[in-house]
Amino acid sequence: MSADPLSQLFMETVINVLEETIYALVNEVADVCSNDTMVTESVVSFSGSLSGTIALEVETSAVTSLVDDLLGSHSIAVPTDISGEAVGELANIIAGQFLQAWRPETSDYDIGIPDVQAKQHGETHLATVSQRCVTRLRTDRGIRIAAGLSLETWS
Amino acid sequence: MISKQDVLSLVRQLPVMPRAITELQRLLTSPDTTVDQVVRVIKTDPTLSTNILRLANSAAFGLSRKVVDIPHAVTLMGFKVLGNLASTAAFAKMLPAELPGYRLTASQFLRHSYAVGVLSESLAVELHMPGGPPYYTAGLLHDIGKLVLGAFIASHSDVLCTILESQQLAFVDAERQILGVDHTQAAAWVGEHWNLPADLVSAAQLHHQPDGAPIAIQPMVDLVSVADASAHCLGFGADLGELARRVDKGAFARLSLSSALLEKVTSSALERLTQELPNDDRPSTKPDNTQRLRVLVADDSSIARQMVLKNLGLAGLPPYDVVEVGDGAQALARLREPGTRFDLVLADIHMPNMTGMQLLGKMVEDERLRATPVVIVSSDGNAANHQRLQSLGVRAILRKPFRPEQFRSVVRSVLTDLGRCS
Repeated sequence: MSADPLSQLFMETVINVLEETIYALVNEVADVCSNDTMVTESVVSFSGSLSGTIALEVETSAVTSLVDDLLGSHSIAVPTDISGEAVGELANIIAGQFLQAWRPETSDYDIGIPDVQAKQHGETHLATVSQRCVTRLRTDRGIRIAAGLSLETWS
Repeated sequence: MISKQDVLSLVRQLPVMPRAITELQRLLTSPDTTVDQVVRVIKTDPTLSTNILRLANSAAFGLSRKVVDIPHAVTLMGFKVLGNLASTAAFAKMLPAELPGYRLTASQFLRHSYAVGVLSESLAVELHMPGGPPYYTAGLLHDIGKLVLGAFIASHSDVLCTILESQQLAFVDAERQILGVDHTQAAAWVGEHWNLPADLVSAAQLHHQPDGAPIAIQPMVDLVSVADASAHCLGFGADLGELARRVDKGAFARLSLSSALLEKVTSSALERLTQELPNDDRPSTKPDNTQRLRVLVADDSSIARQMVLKNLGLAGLPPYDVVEVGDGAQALARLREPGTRFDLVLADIHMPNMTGMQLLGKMVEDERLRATPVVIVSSDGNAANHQRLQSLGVRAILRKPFRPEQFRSVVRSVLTDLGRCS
């Protein structure tokens, strides 16, 4: 574990947010989804003294489990599109938490509205845009989650 | 009384039906459609793709291996299930967080709509009606007029309750008496806005008066009318006049229904609906009890609202009622409703139409709302935003992620200050 401070902080933030919101034990893993696996990805952009994007990717077939973990139980019995919103909400929380932790003394960031899309892993922002750091995790209930930080400017 | 123009101005504010859904509905009613054509349309809509994969991997299909691609999912489900799923998912996305006036949340409204869809389809199968027409979708969309009429009903809810109780009218008749227009007329305007097929619009427009339907679509209109009344009788109703609903005798006769057959269909549908819609969240028909806490939750993300509701349930509060809205403008409208009181507002910062910050600003300007406590629930850590919120008198800012005990502590502290919690 020789990650630089930024990467280390990003990974810790992602783990912390997941543990606080979906009450899961999370472990870092090395395996990557195959390119044709369908995933739901949320990308949140931010600007300020650090500008870039945070992307969060969950296997689409596992998003229902993620919603269950987030809310504790099924609260809506008929199909809706709230599953995608769950990934967006987590990405948003990670972005807020990470930026606050990186420069707590300034906190001058503006965070955009999460963009959520379902696509094949090989076509995601995470897979196609150069990332400053990527964290791949698996929860104790088997959900694979990947998060990436991409930077445009930083001071 | 309201004019057609009044209603149309609200119709134009409704979201547009996703193009992939209307295209899919067109394809699925054609006998020549191929799986490849359907897959191509689905892949253009990420939300639809997600929902289809989610259902394919649900317990309903009982597969041991994960379905990870759309062609496999389409083949697995078949066109009929796929069409129903696509309609439901798209319709759910169209709904506002609540329908003011009808005192319905989106999930309560969807519950009734879904029940009518299931009953319409079950009746069609039992009566051996020809395949092809989208019976389920016709049932699902039958009450779309309520999406716009609710805003007008809201300002007459007291009169409405009085009329319903004293005159034993059906809700649709009470709407006409008070507003001069009812939700079936409004349905035609919504249907046009959504570019729905003519038979679906007619079913929504005529389900309370099936006798007047054109011959070509009479069976579908009759089916939806009977399904709607049956849903009310089974307890899956969605308006204050549900006990006054009766099955239309003309529709019953034209469909060659018998009591035994209807009972068979409703029994089997009830079993299915009870399994699929286990939470009895039927709308309250009681007037507001001023002794109960009233909490307004404003967030554009339904997941975020659900998270707040979950934490409210864990906060050990006295009995409370919650109203959910999707943006600051809706929140302000609810707060300003005559005779309405809220003890607490929980709002996000970043919302469309009106932000949490703007909402707070409007509340400060309004003498009646100035004292209503607002707690901001957000992941936004921007220091300038926090300073501005504090200058406007926000009671607390709860940063996400938070633990239930943090939420509980903040909410209880605010309510204790008001003397509403000990």
